[in-house]
Amino acid sequence: MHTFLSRVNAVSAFSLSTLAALTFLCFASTFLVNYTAPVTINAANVVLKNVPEYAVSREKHDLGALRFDTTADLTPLFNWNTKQLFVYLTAEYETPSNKINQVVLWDKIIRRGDSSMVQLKNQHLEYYFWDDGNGLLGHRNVSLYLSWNIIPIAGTLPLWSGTGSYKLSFPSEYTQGRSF
Amino acid sequence: MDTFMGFSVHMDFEGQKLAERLFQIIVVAFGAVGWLYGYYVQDFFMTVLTLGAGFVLASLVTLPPWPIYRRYPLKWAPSQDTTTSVSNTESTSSKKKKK
Repeated sequence: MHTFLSRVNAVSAFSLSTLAALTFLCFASTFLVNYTAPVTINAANVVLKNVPEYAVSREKHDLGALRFDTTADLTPLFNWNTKQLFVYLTAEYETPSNKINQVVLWDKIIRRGDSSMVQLKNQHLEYYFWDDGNGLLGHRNVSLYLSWNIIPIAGTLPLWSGTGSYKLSFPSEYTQGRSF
Repeated sequence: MDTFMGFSVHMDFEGQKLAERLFQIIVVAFGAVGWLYGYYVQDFFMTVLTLGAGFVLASLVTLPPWPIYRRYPLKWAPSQDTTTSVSNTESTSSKKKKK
């Protein structure tokens, strides 16, 4: 403390420790926040094909395709500890070979300051809806969920889902040709 | 020694104590107010900015050796003439004086 540089050191070290404490308090103030939100999901144009999945083998696997509508107001999820949201749509279903199948069909990053309304009309899938076998044929209970990963400024990285889902059923016959 | 870019920068002991206390109070006060303000407007960047302002103010107040930090200069013992302090009697008497 007797020289200029030792005082620079002391003041900046103390300020940084204070910043660390404030950041922790910011995390603590948002730790118990409920990050769910109401979501409406609709789907249409459900198509099912049986095509070779060359990424795995030459066997034919089920490939679903659909269009979906989603409305969700994610504004309440942005508090002072939210940096951005990773929003994703998953299809969840049960097959004889797997108790739980989860396929991510679409995702979006919403940064702080972006429009936090999710309003999609007739949106096509961003990723292939592959089953790992032939579990989608005639499946009557495939649920679509919208979930999000809250990327904070400080603290944990919680996963939350919206309340509201859509149950879709796949046809009992494969669609032939290139009719997507 | 004790210079920064040609300027004398030392503080006396009382001044160092006062400077440390002052920057602790300033930084914590700005941090607390900034935290509350950031919570109110729901923007943590405001908290960081307020704390930054506190850091700048604390630096201005406590980094330069303002006269307020030099009010209690150390009273050094008077320098002794090395030629006369060789004898035994002189050195013992000077030790008694220090105590």
